[in-house]
Amino acid sequence: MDERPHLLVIGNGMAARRGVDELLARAPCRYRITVLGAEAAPAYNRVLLSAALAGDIPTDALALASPHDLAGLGVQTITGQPVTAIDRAAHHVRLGDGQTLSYDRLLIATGARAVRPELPGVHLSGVIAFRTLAHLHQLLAQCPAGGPAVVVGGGLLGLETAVGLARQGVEVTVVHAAGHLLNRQLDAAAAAVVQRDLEARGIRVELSARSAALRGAQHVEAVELEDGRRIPARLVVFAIGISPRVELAQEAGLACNRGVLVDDALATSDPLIDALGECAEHRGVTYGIVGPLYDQAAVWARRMAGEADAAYAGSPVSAQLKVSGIDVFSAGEVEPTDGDALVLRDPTAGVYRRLNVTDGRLTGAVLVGDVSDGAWFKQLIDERTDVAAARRALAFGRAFAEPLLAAGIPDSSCEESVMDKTRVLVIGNGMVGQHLVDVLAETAADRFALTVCGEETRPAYDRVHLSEYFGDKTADDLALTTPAFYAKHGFDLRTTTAITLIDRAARTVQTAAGETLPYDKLVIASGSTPFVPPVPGRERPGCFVYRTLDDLDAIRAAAQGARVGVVVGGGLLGLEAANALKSLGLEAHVVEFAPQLMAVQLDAGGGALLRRKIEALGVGVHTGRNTREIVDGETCRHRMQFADGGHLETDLIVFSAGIRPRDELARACGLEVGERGGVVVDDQCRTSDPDIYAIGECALWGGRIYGLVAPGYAMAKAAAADLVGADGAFTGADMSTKLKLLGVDVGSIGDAHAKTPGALCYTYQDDLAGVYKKIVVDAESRRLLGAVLVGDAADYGSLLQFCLNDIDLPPQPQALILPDSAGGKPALGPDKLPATAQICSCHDVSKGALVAAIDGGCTTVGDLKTCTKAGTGCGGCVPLVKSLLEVELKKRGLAVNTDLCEHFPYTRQDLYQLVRVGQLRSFDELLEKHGRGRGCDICKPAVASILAACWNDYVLKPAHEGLQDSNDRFLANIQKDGTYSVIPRVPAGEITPDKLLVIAEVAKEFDLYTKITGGQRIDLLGARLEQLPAIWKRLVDAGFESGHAYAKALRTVKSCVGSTWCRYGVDDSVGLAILLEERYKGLRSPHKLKFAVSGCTRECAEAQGKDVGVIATEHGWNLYLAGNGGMKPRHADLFATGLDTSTLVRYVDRFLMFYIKTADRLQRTSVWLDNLDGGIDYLRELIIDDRLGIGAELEAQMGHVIDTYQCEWKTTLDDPERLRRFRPFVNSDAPDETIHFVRERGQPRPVRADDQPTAVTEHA
Amino acid sequence: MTKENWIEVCGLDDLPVNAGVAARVGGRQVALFHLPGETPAVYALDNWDPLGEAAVLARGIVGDLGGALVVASPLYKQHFRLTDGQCLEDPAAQVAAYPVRVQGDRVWVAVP
Repeated sequence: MDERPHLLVIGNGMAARRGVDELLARAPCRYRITVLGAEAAPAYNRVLLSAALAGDIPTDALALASPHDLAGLGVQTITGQPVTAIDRAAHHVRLGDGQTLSYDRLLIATGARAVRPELPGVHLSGVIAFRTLAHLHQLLAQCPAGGPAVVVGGGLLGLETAVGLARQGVEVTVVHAAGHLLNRQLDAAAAAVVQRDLEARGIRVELSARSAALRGAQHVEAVELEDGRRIPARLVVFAIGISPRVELAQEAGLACNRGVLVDDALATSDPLIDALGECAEHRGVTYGIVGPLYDQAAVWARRMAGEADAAYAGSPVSAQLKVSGIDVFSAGEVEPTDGDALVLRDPTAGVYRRLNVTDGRLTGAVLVGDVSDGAWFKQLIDERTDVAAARRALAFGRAFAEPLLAAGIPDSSCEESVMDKTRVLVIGNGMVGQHLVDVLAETAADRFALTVCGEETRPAYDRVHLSEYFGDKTADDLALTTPAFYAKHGFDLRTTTAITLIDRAARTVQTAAGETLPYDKLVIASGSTPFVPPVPGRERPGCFVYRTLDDLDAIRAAAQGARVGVVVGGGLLGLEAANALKSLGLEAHVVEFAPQLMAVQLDAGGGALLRRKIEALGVGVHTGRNTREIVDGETCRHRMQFADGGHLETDLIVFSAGIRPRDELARACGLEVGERGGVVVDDQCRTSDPDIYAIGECALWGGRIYGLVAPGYAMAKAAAADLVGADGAFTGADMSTKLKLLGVDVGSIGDAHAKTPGALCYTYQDDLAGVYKKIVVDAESRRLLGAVLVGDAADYGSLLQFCLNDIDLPPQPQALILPDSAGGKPALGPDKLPATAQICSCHDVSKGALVAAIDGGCTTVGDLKTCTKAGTGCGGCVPLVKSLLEVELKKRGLAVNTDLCEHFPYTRQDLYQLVRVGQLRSFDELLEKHGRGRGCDICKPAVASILAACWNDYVLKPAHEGLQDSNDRFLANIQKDGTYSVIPRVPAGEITPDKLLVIAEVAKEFDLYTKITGGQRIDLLGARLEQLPAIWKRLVDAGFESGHAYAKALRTVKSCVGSTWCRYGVDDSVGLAILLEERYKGLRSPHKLKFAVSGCTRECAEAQGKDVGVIATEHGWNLYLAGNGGMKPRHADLFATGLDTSTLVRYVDRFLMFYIKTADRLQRTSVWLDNLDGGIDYLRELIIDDRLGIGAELEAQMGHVIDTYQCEWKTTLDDPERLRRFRPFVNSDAPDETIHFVRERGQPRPVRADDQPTAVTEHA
Repeated sequence: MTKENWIEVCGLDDLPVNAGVAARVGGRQVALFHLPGETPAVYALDNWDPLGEAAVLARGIVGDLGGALVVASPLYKQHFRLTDGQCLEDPAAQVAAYPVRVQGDRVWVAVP
């Protein structure tokens, strides 16, 4: 007999079921529960009935499932049994079949019924009030007859029903008594949007129409309206509202009004009886939508579960709904009031918004189409937020209004403002055009209907890094945007759409396909075209320009079978193009009309050095050459005939001799253009037509065309600001540049040519090292005006700061460019910089932003890179970032303690040097000389690793034994239960069947759990300490070596199968992987090391996720460094391309040894590189250029490690003294009795606490 | 307290220097640590790591932290004081420490 109090629930609808579920979640066993449903069907989701009618969901998906095991909890449900009476005195209810059920607590959740007006003919067949599942089946059964149907009631349910019927192919008319649809939720304007949509679906709407009678003999045939009109109908659905079912409560004497009266505890006038749902009336309100009902259910359940203070305070009513696929939202007042109405209409996008503002407070919101900000508007209404500051912006949505609210500047205008979306059309989807779109999307996407027309086939991509397309970058890698971005913001991107005409009078543009597109504001971002000198023969096949990805595809195709390539133009872009030709494997030449390279940015001295350096790289440089014509060649396809009589033969010619602004559209429609081209713009980037802007390379500002991307971006920002009505101006841009051309560092700042009257120059030139530096200062030597740097641009960052911020120069300005050895370079203290100083020009990060990030908790250069992106572009600012960080941390009293631990007041790098320089061979020696105390589990393994990397002694020599972590000490990986795993080395994952058999035999014999690792080898787990020697004896005898899986050392070199087998393979990845693994096996390092080699750019070995990754290309190996997977994955940096194997190995030797020498304890290569001053560029100088002259030393040190390699397991097995350490106990060979295994999927695993005790088996 | 059983475990030479080794002492697993520079030079803790839940303390690295001699668990690196078995990171965790005597070159451990 169930002794629990009996809870009886009258009603089996959504509110009742939710109440029961909530109660079971809180107090599953407190009550014996019986649910009584009047309908025969099990509980179902009434809200989705109309969706089922529309066919959006199947009817069997309507069932309401409980998350609880109702049967197991003793919950009984009786359906098809209406309750006929409640006897409160007897504490029982009577059912339709006469039986009675007693209760201790009673819940009334009888819901509501659909209202059916008392009209003549209302009982004819074919007339229904849509409310129940039975009605749904009835409607579905009638639909095939095809109607016509009339839905009476243009509220939510009525419209959903109408849409559902229309979807079933039925002809539908909606008859609605009010003047507009959804009059409880929407205002007339919003309702009109909905009505238009319904009518577009073929649904007719009769407004202000009342039905007077239903006509027909037995079956309904027509609806007669009060005005006498008859609408034919085979089906009439009433959806004019619901009324709470209160009869039962009323007859039982409970207080009722429209609904059953309940207090905040949801109790009726009888304390044992509660009511909730559509039948309940709380504080004068009955609710008909599901959200408030669920709120009630939750409160009721909490009280029933014993939470005496749970109370229902009513639910704010808002409605978010979908009417025939249109999102609709309303909250607060739905009709216009005496206050202001803010209205936004965008008929083309089907968007409507009306916001009522009364006394500076939002009092009502109606949204159609885009309801994403509904919750926010509702919050403003509920919290009575003062919205005066953002009054006008409110209708544009949260993204636009919230910042204004936060700023709190009041907006005084009070007139009714009706704003439609401004149609902005952008011509050109290059980097600058896209930047404008990005800025608008960020700041005011809601305000604009934006259309972007680009003539290329692809959306915008990174033209600055175009040459990397010939390296390892794909078009996708270079992409700056995606169609998804446009879709998200509701913007329209049209690629392959050239514009042929601007009609300023009609405010339209015409596309090449003949389409006419309207605009309110037009932005010309058409960029530039490469200038091709008018040389006869320039149209010959094999002549290209260098501007788009399509150009590059064509160049790549033409390079097949070509030997020589020439670039016409020795400027910045020309040299980039020469690099691209070189990377295609061509013999590259640069032909320049001017007497020097990069004549715009460099002076003669800088240009001369650059020339020498580039020639040294095997690129032919021909300055002062004027090409007269291009004719057939003798040794190559073409011959370039120069004006001075010389000639050059080539297979391929790329013109990169400057750019010309694309101003033809502007010119044709009468906009003002410059004498030498370019659309004239003002500081807001407006053209002579205030509704037309021009930005980027097509724009002429201050008589100047800007061919760099940063000024283009600044123009885009200025134009965007003007479009949204904000302040912002383009006031010119600094054209300083730092870049690497063909591997040569070049920097140019400000007045590089010393054209300023009275300017003075200081020049430093070192022909041996290949360095040229010049600074230009004013007549008083007070200000830096410009600089030229070639071969060494390390000073670029600080010189630029001097120049841009007008910082006083030191008394001896020449010291700024002299080498350090010349005696103390005056450092530019970060303190001297204003907060607005731009530190990172690649990502426009100011000193202020960096200081803010430090305030926010950044304490390392790596943190700052992640947080602000500073230093992640060219990396030139990293030294400045670092010194800023140090100064700021010091200011905050944050001395960063870099001591390894309490025993050594040194960093790991220091200790490495002390060991190396002092020739220290043991921990004790190091501790005695440089440490204190006895050491610990931090310093001991760290020093053991350093000793191994320097001297490579056997790691288990008695002097080293106690230093090793348990893993190194027993040459295996300890597992959670104290057993070990064994991983033999399988170089590159290549293994013979015989060796596999040995592994299998060992695993079987010692009953080891066997798993394939991610590093392409095999892990054998569950080995006891004392089993390790026997296991390894078998493995070593079969030719296996230690896999060093237990050590901070090289783990594996993963590889794909490579060109040996793979039909796409370019080179033998397995062969190289074996070579690398054999070379570096056993190398101890600050962290574990993983390598991989891929045989082609498909990258199946995932080399870019490894510390050292190699990818085969047709031109040799590409080397990637410092990637990692794991918790914080980092893509490796491309370090060098087209390497032969011996160069590759030399670079890897140097890289690894330098890492081991300078990294912190447990610092992965990725983090190490992120914190390395100068980053990957510095690493290249060090490794490739051997700038510090330590290359040979690093290689020698690596050579020592390689020469002294020993398989630690082989050595151990040969040493009886060592083997004694693998006894389980110093005084016993009985195995550890605490280790237990169970079997799972045919293999052993450690026993768990929740395993059944019977499953435990003693390990043999 | 008086019911200590002194058991001869092994020779001092059998113990690795500045490291640990497991021993069976009167039905228990004991971790012995030999630190020749210290007084006393040999310490005995229960071998069971109560936090890692495995018999592994003998395989930890020994050293000192803030002046206290400790062994670091090889599983999760908590430190246990060699003199009394107290865990430095978790006041609630402690392992038994057993008295040790070195007589001649023999190591004796007392267990309850």
